[in-house]
Amino acid sequence: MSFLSKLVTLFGLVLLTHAGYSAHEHTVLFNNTRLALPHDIIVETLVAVVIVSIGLVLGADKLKPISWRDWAGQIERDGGARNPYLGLEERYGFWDIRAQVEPVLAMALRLCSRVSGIVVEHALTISQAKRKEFGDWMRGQDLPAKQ
Amino acid sequence: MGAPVDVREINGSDLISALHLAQQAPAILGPNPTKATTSTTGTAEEYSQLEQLFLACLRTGDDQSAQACLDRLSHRFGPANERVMGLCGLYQEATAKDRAALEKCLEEYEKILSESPVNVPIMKRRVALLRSLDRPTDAIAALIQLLDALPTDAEAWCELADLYQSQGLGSQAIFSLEEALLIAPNAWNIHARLGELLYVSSSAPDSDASRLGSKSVQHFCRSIELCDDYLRGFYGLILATSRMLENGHADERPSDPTVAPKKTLDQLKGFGLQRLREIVESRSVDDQHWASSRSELIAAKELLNRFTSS
Amino acid sequence: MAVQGVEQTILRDPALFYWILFPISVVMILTGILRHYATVLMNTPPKSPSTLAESRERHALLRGVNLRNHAAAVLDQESFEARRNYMVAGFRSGAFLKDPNNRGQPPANPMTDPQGMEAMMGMLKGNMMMMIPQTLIMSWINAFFSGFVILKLPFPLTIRFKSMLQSGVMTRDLDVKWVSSLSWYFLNLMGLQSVFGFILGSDNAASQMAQQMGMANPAAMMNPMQPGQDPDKLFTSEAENLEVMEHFCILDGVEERVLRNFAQIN
Repeated sequence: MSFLSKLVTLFGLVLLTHAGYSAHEHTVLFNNTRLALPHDIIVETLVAVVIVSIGLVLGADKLKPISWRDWAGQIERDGGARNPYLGLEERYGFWDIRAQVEPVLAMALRLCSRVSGIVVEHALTISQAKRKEFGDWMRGQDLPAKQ
Repeated sequence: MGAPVDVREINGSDLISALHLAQQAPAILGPNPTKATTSTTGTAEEYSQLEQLFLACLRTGDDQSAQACLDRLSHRFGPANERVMGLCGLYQEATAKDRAALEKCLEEYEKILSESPVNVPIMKRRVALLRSLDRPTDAIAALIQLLDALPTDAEAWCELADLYQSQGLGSQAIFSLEEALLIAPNAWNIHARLGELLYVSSSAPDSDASRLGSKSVQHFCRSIELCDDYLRGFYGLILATSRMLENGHADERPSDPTVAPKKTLDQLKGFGLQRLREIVESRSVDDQHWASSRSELIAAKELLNRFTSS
Repeated sequence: MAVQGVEQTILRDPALFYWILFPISVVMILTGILRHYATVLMNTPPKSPSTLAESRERHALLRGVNLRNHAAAVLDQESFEARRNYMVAGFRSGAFLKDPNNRGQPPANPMTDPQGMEAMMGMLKGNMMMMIPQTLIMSWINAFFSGFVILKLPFPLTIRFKSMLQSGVMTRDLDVKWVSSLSWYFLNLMGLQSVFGFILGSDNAASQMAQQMGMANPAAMMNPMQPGQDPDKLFTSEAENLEVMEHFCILDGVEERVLRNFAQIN
């Protein structure tokens, strides 16, 4: 919600409260004479409602796509990470964890060799000891930032 | 939970984001990761994030943080919870030193299953382990047993399709993917995957190439219809239509009304090329953002070059 | 009857508001919350199937329904026919049943069947959770607060609402706008649902339970069948549904559709 819309909504709410208070006072004062509610109170209420609505609409979130195709296209343009059917291709339940590790290690080593210029290709032969070593290193050091 | 780190948008296949997520593990788990927190509160969403973190840590070899995640999960849900048992098995597989240790994991799974036969996560782990131990026929048999008891699990059907395909059984793989699609009929990526499978099996020598090819075109079209800007769908559409056109399976007036005439296929190919070009142009501008699908983009560019040069 | 056109005025003591209207509302909200937590405590999670055959029996029906609903989006005529024949034959022959030999026999007596017994206990507990607090509060209100007129509605109503709004006040001439304390209790009982939704979160039945379930594979826990229902009957009716179904495929002509809808910009 932007500042402007907040301001407009607040102003409308103040008006609405004022109108309500006026109506209450009016009925207390003229309880026995049964005078109709003055027009200015009615007009104030209506204007206040309109202003509050405008404020809320101004502050609403961006509209989301309605059609499936647009929504799915949005997801794909964002890189596909939010695809609800991604699990059917990733299949976490059937993960072969031992086959998953090596590409990640290779990628990490490539990333840091790009930065520091060290040739680490021989390190790609991975044993369990290496795996542990790498895990310790992962927690200690920073990879180049994504940006 | 510790620092407010955004771990929601994690693409599982994306290696870079998995690395980044795993690096944040100490921050998320807090200063004392080995000691499980005593609180049992927390929303379901937080725990699913913890699960993601666990997987990412295992992938990057950070076994300590993974152990901490696992401790928290089993502290909250109890070690007898089926899903926690599955994750536990995954951890043991990842840290197993040699083949003998893996065989021991397998024995453990079988022991658990003999006590409670419908433990789905453990059943899935067993299939995955069998596959990883190079016993695909056993894996297929175990998976069929699972699917017989639980025929509404789309993930398992997809895995079965993958297994069949790795064994070269195209038509069985197609059947399995169709079953998965019956459960999730709007999954555009599975439609594209089915299209790819059909495309591959239409190239087999003793197959009904024209029928399989036209079905493959249909599924790619459906995937495009379900998802705007779907690179994989357009890529497959171009390949499938051009093979149909080259091999002379396209008629001006096909006898089968479900098969599209040649003119339509031509138009589809042109449409696919045009859209693919647009997609490639719009994505290669912002290279870093598309890091996860860079290989797809490169393949798409190569395809475009091939068609523009010829 | 009240004289038309002349408004009845009743001077109400403000104490009526503080000592009747307000306490009744508060008590109703609090009992509602209490009941919610009591339900959560006493609720037992649905039992997951213990054998593979039982799981198959539960999911076979869903598979049939899925085929019926989604076949148009995926299958062509040939593979649909094959699947339909397989499902119908399976449903008819009882191949999906947990215990095909027991087919045709009357369902076990729920009193002797332990599973049926459990389900009945669950239902009984749920009913008790509703009944007991209601009876208590109703008698409490009747004993202390009956016979008061406590508020006036700001809009006119027809005479039919009199029995609803003025129970406990036997005045024939009283305008329908006036509400008695007992009626206020009833209005609260019926109308506080949305308030509970606001206080306890949207799915206020059991949010805690949902979380537990989330961790424990919801698909396997799901049980489409009510206790005491005969799965064989459900299967036969599903087989009939499948048999009369007319298949069409949205993949027919999808090529032209895509071209027409999305390729106009050429």
